Amino acid sequence: MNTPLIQAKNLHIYHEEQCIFRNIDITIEANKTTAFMGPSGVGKSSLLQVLSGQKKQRSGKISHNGKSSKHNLKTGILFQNNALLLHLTVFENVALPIRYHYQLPEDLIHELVMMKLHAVNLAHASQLYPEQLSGGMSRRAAIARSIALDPNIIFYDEPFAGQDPINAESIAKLIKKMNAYLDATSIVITHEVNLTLQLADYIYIFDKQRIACQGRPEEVLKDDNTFVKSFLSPNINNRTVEN
Amino acid sequence: MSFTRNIFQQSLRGIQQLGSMMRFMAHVACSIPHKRVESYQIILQTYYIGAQTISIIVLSALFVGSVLAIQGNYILGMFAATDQLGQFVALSVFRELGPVITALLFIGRSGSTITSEVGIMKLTDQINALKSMKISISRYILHPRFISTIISLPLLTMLFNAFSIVGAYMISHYSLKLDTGLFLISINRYVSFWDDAVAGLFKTLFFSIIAATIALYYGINSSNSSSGVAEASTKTVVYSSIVVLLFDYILTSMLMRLW
Repeated sequence: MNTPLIQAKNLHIYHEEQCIFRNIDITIEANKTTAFMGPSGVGKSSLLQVLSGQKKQRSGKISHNGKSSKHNLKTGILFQNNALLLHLTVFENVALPIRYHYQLPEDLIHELVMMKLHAVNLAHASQLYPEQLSGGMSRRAAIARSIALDPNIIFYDEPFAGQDPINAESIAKLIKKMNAYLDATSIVITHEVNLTLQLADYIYIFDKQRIACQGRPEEVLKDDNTFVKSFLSPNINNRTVEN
Repeated sequence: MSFTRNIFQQSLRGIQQLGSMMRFMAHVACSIPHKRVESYQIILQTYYIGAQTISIIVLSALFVGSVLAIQGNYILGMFAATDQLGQFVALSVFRELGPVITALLFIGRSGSTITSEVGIMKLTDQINALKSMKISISRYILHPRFISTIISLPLLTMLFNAFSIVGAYMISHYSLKLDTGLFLISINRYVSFWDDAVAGLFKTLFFSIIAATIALYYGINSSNSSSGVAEASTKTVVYSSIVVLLFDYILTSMLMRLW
């Protein structure tokens, strides 16, 4: 079996003084899409912050590629509210991390940024400001920025939230495309059951400070846990995400 | 008993906040030489917080100069010394009013802008996004605004000083019908460039550090809500103004001993 990209053991996560997760184990396999699901307020975003290194866990151990030292993984994060820099155009938003980390000639930066924007079908909007974009376009611009540095692992915090079904589906397709093109690993936080069942290779469902269920989509669907059944069943239909 | 305890707790909280603000200032100021400076961001911020304040400063300076001329003419007239009006206006503006009023106007306009801008960046996860891209918050957000304030405020003070004199000159000439030649001669003869103008600008340097530190501190520490950002902006204006006036007293006392 391959070494997991991220392995978290006996994780205790607190938000201020409130315990969110107690003694959970998470394994993220490389080049796979892992989904975190659960009701609102269960602490999925806090878990994502801990795994992406934005926040510290109270106790427990997180190893990256089998090493417990501070990781060298290149990460990209899609924030729930996109978090685009409002005073910069879409082009400048994507160019910012490239300019900051690499001393490249301007024409090469232009080429790299346009490549990312083409990948998310946003090349035509490169000179627009975030306030001029629709919800779906903002989300795609934020995805373009999150892949600007060619990350090994991309964290998507509620990528389908606030999107209409067509946009949500196109974002799901985009996530699949990014994984394939960048050979990346994805962690997706979502409530969107149908898209997740099609998109994810592995699913964690959380409830009340613990993991209620985990497994491949077909295993999760067969789980007997009452909470898992009630969480999944009202939302399931037969839609599929095309590759 | 609870009243005394309340006062004690409030004072303790105030001291703690002052301590963390000083630590923040030291961190920002000391980290500037160790990081590559974002010169484009500094130019951009100098435009936003400095250049865009010019109209307010010029307009206020003209009015302050005009009022000083009218009041000065009245006061000096009692001693038949209206030929000293230029000196009266220039010394008042260069030594005291210029640095203080410019700092207060700057705090009201640009200090609150810095706080709300940084607060909104925090509220909308823009700061977390920068951190996730491993972009230094100090280098990208704090340093440009800090340096821009230190560049802008002394320049705005010079502008204020100049336009106050212009305002006073115009009022003395067109309204008070005074001899403007005497007005200019009295400035030239009795106002020292080093002791008056430069000493005033020396105070401005402190005011700019105070304004930048408090604005950035409250912006970066604002709570994650729209009311939190509004509260942070209010705190910036109130506390910066009080601290500027306090430091004005301290620096003036010190400089008066040197003069």
